[in-house]
Amino acid sequence: MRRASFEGSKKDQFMPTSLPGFPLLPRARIFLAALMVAPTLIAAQTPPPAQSPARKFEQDGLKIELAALPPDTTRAFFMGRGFARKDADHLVAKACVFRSAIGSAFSKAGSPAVSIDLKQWQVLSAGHDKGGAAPPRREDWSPVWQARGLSEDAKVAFYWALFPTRQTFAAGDYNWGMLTFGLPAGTKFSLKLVWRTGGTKHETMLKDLTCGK
Amino acid sequence: MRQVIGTFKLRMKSICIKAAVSLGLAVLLQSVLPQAAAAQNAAPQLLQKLTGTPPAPAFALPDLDDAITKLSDLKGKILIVNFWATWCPPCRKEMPSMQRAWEKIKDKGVVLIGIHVGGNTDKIWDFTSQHNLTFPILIDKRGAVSKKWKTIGLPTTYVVDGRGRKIYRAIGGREWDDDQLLAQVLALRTGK
Repeated sequence: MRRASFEGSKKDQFMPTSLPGFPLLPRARIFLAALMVAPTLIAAQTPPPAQSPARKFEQDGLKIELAALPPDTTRAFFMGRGFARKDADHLVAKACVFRSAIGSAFSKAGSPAVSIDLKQWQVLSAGHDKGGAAPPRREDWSPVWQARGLSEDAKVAFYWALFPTRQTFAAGDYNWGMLTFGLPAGTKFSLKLVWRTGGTKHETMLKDLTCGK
Repeated sequence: MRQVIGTFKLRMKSICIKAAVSLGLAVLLQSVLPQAAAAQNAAPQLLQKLTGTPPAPAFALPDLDDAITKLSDLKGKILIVNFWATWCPPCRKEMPSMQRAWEKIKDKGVVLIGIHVGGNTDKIWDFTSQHNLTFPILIDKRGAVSKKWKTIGLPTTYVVDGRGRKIYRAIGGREWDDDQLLAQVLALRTGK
């Protein structure tokens, strides 16, 4: 379309058909080429956006991405899904929340299954290797919301927004969900990950995680 | 002298234009080639074959107009049943590919159904109209059907054969209009 509009016979009356040294390259085409590359050139000059706070990890079949959510973001997310302000405040007071994507790192059919159980994970104080506790899971929050009289819609939204407690991933599978850690905003901590790949147990420690604030 | 200066100016102009065009092309290629390479290396869109071909649990769910759809109404059809939610990023991401898949398969004996977990109909309306989704969207207000189907995270999608058995599962998003993926679904029409 562009080419047609620039090569109309009327246009050619006002422009020489070519430039010296570019017998086959009319000015219109150069102008067009310049227009086409300009955004790319500008994009190349633009500094990259601020580094994402997401922490990525991949090992022995497990792929994980974690990012701390600021309390305001968590509060807004759940208030948009039926939480009263007091309940959203309770959540951010009791837990720091991370968004996560966890799944199989394999991309070939027939690869071993990768399974996780959040009950086996441990949240540890920064600099410690032992004495941690498992992160609070869907099941742990249910009685809290029941006691606080949360609406059914809000309870359903919370349940499904949290990462499943147990999951098994085939090649290409992953889930998205929130992880809650019973820590105050801004706390630095380590997270011991445990998973099984084709039945073999693996574990590692993710250090220097920080709750949003 | 004027002729020499004129020729020199023309040559310089020509060199500058050539350099600008070359630079532009180089930058353009630099930006396009990695995308092409990434597309070539894109992971295959895998479906996990379920062992034991468990029966798809019955449901009767409303759509956005409160019209009820029952699983039994769809007997004999191949089904793609997607459990999703508007607030789930990979669910949102895969929805346009589901619509494209629907365009490819709707006349081939396959029914695609989105089951939204949770009942915020305003948000569902907004999302479906924004993305021009035309396949049926049902609402599982309390998440009970999702749990009966053994869905534990979103998105999760099942492919059900004409005999009402869950044959394939995909946990997480996929490019649903991928030809190889759809070929696996369409192959179920033979009833094998």
